[in-house]
Amino acid sequence: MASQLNLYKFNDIYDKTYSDILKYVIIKCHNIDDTKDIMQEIYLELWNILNKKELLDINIKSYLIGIANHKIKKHYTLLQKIKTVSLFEKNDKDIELIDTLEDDLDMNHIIIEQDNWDTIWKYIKKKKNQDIPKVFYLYYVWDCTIKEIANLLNVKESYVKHLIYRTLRELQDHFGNGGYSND
Amino acid sequence: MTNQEKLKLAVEQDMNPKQCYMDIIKKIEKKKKYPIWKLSFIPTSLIVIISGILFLQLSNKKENILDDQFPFSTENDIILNINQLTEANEITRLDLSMKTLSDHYFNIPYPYKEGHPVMIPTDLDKNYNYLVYNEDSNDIQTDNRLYHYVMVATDGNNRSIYVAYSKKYKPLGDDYLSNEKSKVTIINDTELKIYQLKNNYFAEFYYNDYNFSVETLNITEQELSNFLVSILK
Repeated sequence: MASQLNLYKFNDIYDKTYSDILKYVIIKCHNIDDTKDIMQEIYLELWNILNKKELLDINIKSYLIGIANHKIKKHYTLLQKIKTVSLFEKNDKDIELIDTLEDDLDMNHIIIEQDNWDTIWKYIKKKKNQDIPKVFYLYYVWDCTIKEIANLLNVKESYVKHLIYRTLRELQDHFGNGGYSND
Repeated sequence: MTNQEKLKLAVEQDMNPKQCYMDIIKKIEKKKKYPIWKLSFIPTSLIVIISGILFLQLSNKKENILDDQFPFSTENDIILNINQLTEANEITRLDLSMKTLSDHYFNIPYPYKEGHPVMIPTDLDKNYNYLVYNEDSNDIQTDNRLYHYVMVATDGNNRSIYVAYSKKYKPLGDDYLSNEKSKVTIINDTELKIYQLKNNYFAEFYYNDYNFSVETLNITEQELSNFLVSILK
């Protein structure tokens, strides 16, 4: 009976917090493919806690973010953190390139020949610079502004902008016919 | 449907909360069905059986045991004075302004004295090197913004030795771990400060004109000692 009650509580918390915690984990993780494992660890920990004590008068979202921090830290050893640091992701050359990019490049103007967006998302996720899937997730799924993304990832706005435009260009070359749609 | 909506859908399918929920529930059910004591029964039984077999084999081989001895001693008589750290001392080393560059782009200097073999546990057979520099630096090798070089030996899983060294800087900075009260270990006239935090050991010292910081993960105290003695000749 107690277990059933805890399951109701768990389900309620899960439904209310999943999106926000997922967003937090994606921002903080080193590789976006680790997100699912970390999310499971967080909510399994919540389940264990619910079975041990009652969570009264607490901000459950902040509480879960605390668990998330702990799980993310545990998930990566220092060595892994060092190994996954991307090379030259924010150097001066990249910043200069922004001036040469067309500002009006828009995802909805790209013609994708193979209309398989699962494959495209997998392609984005596999980028060595893991800021790219993070930026795409925040920009296109959460509709965050470039300024908000720059603040969340603690990077420059020009860098975020550059990642979006460069990757859109790449998607167009890789999956499209290299041109724009007419609409 | 626009491209953005299609991408959103693909992401939402990939990060599907229902699938994640099902996976969590499966794990909860599995835990209920097979509590730890039940799961531990099989490996425990296996250990008992294997130990029994090994014991029997060793008993049979007793007469020849001297022939099987390792040709030289892998231990030394150095006692390490280890300073225990708490979580409160733990500091994240990676500064956002620091970047790394793989050794494909440069020749890493050898920091030890030539002619002495470095004793690294045999399972740490994967090596890679890199340098750490300030992201604002334009000319990494000649610029003052180069911080330090790093050599890593790892088993590719969870055991590793990480050696950072620099002629100009202390790789971990001045205020990373050291404090005046830290106990000191002396190996072949070199003074070291060694710290432990859970499964990590940290050692700081100056040797052969380099400032060194050594960090290990899941390495035993004896393995650390062997490694340090082998480089501090």
